[in-house]
Amino acid sequence: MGVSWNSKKVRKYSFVIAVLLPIMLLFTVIRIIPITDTIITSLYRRNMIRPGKEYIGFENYSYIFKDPGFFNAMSNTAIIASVSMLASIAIGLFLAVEVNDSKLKGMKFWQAILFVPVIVSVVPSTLMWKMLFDYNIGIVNYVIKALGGTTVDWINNERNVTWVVIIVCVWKEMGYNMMIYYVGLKAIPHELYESAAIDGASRYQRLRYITLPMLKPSTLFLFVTGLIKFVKVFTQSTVMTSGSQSSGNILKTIVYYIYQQGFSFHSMGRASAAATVLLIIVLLLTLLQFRITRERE
Amino acid sequence: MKRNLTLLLVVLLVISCFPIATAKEGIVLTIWNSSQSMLTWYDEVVTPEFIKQHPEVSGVEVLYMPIQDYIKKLAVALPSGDVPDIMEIEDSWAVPYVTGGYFEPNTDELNAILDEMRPEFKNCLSYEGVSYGVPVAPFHEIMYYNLDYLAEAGIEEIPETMDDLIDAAVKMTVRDEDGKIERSGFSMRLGGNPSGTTQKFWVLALLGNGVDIYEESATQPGKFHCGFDNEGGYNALKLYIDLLYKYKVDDFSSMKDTAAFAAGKTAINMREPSSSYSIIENGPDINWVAAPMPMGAVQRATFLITLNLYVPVGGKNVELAREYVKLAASRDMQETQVIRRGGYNPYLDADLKEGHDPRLAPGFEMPEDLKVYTVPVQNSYDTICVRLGEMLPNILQKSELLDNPEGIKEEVKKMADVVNEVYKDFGEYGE
Repeated sequence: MGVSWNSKKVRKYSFVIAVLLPIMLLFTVIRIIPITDTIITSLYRRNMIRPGKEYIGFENYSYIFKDPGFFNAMSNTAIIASVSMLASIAIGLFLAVEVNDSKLKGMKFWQAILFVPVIVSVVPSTLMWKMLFDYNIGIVNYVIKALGGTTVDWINNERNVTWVVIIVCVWKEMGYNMMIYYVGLKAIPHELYESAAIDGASRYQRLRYITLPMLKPSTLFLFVTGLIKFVKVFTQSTVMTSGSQSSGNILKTIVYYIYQQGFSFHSMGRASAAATVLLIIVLLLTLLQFRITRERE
Repeated sequence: MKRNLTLLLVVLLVISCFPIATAKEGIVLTIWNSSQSMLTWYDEVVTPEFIKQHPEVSGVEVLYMPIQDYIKKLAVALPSGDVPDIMEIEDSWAVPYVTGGYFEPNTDELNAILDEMRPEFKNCLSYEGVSYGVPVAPFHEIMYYNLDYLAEAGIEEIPETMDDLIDAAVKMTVRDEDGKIERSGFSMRLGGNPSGTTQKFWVLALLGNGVDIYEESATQPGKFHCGFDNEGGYNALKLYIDLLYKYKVDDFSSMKDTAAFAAGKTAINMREPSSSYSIIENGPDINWVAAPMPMGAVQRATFLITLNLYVPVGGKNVELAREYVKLAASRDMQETQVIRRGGYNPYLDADLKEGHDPRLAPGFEMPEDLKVYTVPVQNSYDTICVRLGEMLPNILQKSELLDNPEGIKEEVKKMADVVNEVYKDFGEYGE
């Protein structure tokens, strides 16, 4: 009996391993090996364009933790990632609920329009936003002035431009979040809403006690993937603040810092140390989020 | 039907996996570049002539990349050996690759061309007595003045000195009722790409005050330390602070650079001659003239930077690539480069003004007292420029530095420390 069970088990796991092996091999080649190499490189002084490397222990970490530029990049990234993630989830949910509940004709069209930012290329769309927020010719300041307000230098001030970058990130992501939530909403049994309606539940109560709990897997997914996506923000912040026609500094994010250390200063050791710190942060955030959700369940 | 369609798709897929022989046969040279204004010169002037001279070459492909992408590509491609036949690179970025041994040294023929050019080029292209690369698109820094605004302010002469320039800029600055600058008197570079920010500070403020970013060590030749941790550096930073907060000729919010000049939003702009094409195109009604850099507090100075053509080690057609470089750097080709890009003719005996728009030509006057600087052959130099360029916008936002000598000295010291730290990091520091 036991032998038969074991052979069944072996057969079952052989199949699982056989099916998973190609993807595991691919994952090892494109993920595990580069990540391991990055961690190892972070312990060496290694110039990207010079042969050879020298083991220096944690000196690269010591350098980046003393570098004010690294902390500036970390703080900018933390603000952009957390606010963009939360705002794009909230707006995505709001849009999905509205699109789902609306009885109006042509909602599919508006759904498609809201999804357009997701497929638009980041660089041109960021340049478009840059023009909208331009101090001198931007429509945003034009409207502010028309309403009697004081014009704001959105792009050249680090604090202001952080919010503009957040707006671009949210604009780009909300359509995707809306679609994920929309699919999630379609999967909620209609009977639940009908029963709640019979019991006299308001729209808010239905949202609070049916929709949100039922959408928890989607929210978790968007929370984690959104955070990871926004922690890696680079193009929006760099395009928005670089160029000779700008004033002020390029808005540094952690990925910009890694890019600069590696490709501009050629210090692969420091770039790898910063990348390892980013990896640890993302890992911790993901583990924390999974734990919170498991505890709630 | 469905099966036939599937079969057709499979056949197409299989065919697409194999390279199809092109009708065109012969060698195709490849050039990587990051300067859009050079593209038509290669395609319409140099390449047709080169193909005429070398029938075995069927074409020259120029791959343009925006500068940030190009810098990244250089860092990856050169060490991995995945290189084109020719690379066009600005001298300051090329240094680490020159010293790293990624480029072929110049042949005697290329060196002979270099010998006929201004000696500054040879200095900035030589490493340990060997020359690498040949200049094909040099440029220097000049001033652009809006003549209508000068006349409106009652200024009849083009500013000769920095004091004249400040005086004119103050008179030409226009504000709205809220005090916001509507038209800056002088467009200052206050940020953007960091190395460019440093470059402008270098030429206008540091060099004008008689100091450079670096100084060679008196005791250790070939080693360097910061050259502006002194009175000249103090005066340089003070000049910028005064322009912003005392004379108020510009601020962080106003429209900047060539775009502002072409839109009539600034009266004076400091730029390379090639930007005149943008002014002509985008501001056809602007009445402007170019002029050499004004006399600074200590000296009149400008920089001479160039795009060079390098033949990388490991290229597939090294000899033909050298021939192309030779042709591109020849006198005939340089004459066309000068006209098409508003460039600087690198040949020593050339008439620099020849071929230029009459409004631009005065910018090519080289007064006897004008000192011409080039970028040094130092691995650390570009990193220093980036680090300083990141510091400057933050420092310049501190209005409390006005009439604050101690504060300015402290900021200069901080910048000097960063310069020395980078030199130490690269092993190029000497007391």
